[in-house]
Amino acid sequence: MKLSEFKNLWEHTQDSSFEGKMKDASLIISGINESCGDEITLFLKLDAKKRIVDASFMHSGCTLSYAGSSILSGKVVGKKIDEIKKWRDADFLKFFEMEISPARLKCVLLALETAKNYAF
Amino acid sequence: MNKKDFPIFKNHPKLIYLDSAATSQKPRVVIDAVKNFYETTNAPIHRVLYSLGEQATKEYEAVRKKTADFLGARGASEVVFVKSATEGANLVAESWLRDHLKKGDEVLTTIYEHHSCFVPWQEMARKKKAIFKVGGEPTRQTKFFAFTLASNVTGEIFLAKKMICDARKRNPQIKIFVDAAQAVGRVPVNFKDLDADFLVASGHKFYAPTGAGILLIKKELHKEMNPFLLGGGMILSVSKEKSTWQKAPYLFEAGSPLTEAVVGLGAAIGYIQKIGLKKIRQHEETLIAYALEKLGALPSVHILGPREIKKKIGVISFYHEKIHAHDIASLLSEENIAVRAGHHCAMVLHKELGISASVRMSFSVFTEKGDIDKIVFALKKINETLGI
Repeated sequence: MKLSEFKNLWEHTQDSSFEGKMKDASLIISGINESCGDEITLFLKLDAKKRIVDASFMHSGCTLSYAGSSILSGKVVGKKIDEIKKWRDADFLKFFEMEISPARLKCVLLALETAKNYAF
Repeated sequence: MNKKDFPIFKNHPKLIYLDSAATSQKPRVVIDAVKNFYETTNAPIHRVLYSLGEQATKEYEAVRKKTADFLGARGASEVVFVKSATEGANLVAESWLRDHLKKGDEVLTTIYEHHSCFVPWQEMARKKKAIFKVGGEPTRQTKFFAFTLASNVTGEIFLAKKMICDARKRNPQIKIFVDAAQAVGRVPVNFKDLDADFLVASGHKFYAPTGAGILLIKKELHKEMNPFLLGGGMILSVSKEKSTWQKAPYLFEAGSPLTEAVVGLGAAIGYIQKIGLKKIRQHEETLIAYALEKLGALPSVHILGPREIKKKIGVISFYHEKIHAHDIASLLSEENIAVRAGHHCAMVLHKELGISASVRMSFSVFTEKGDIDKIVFALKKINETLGI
């Protein structure tokens, strides 16, 4: 991971408008990366048609899993919850605009995997 | 000081390898010993009636004697070759603890342990309804006490001899397991002098090939232990009704051994002895002092463990207030610097320290002050680029 690329992600994490608890969330989904201890909680607010109208997250861990949580929160708004299940890892990784080493894939994909694990 | 002895640096001239606590690089003499064994002596060992097999057996058993002398065992029979220190610990859990631990007995360990010197006892205590205690002093109820000679996270050297002496005063029946995986090859370790019952070491951390694990078992305990693995190599007789075993150490070495790894271990011990542990320790102390000074001056970087050079092996872990350990390791990788990041198989200790992960740099005979300069420079660059 190049320092210049990391800087972009890092700056993003300093001021994500999606970070924070949502009091009126329809879904609260938690995910943990057991091997490194990263933890996230996603808050999704749905309308009657199960379309996501608002999203936020809380995070503890590395910059990559933070960025993944923030990017996911931004991208899911307007989508139906069932659509997220169909998202492929490769599609999500495109949002990062940088090469992610194999060892760090679990970090950036934590948010997507967490979202896919939602339960009603 | 000995970089030229390690061919990996010829193939990767820019590599700054600071991960020897995980596995060391291998010197030419070890690589040659393994290659030479395959080219000139390779054959099954023990129970072989042809000369090549006899020669292979002779080499394997010579390393057992060499290991016994190197680690201060009372004789070659106290040396068991295992796949890894982890396997050694599991062997002790299954072959001694299982048959001796009773409901209500206490098994004691410390917060500093690597998972391999923690989980096997925790699991066996659970199965036997014994009490598993982490931290504190041994008591009359403590049947088994396991601890590390030097932490794989903080690098702290523990006063093992005193701890064992004190434990035996409180309970003469106590059995003591010492995890010397990080200590061997860095500081002198003497099994007899320590008066431990069991000790494990990990050859691949001190220049030997992977698969060269060592377990020392005090002679007096051999008769009260059962085999861990059953099958070839450890058998005395087999009938339809009953099977009998060989004596230790063969009793504990079922299956075809990792002969070439053991041969490499012999060369690794020879390599250490040629340089001398005193010189190796002096080199480490110089590096520890330099690293503590340089790292300690960096903003937002916090070093874990003691700062006294004499209390540390060449293992230094730190965390950054603002950047996660995994991010730092990834960024250092761009500068060809290999460090470890995570909990280093010591989750309990990290939790106790209030952090989820740390960055670990660990030294070896090939580590130079210039390597420390490079990691410090890279960390400074990260701080500056991110405005920290």
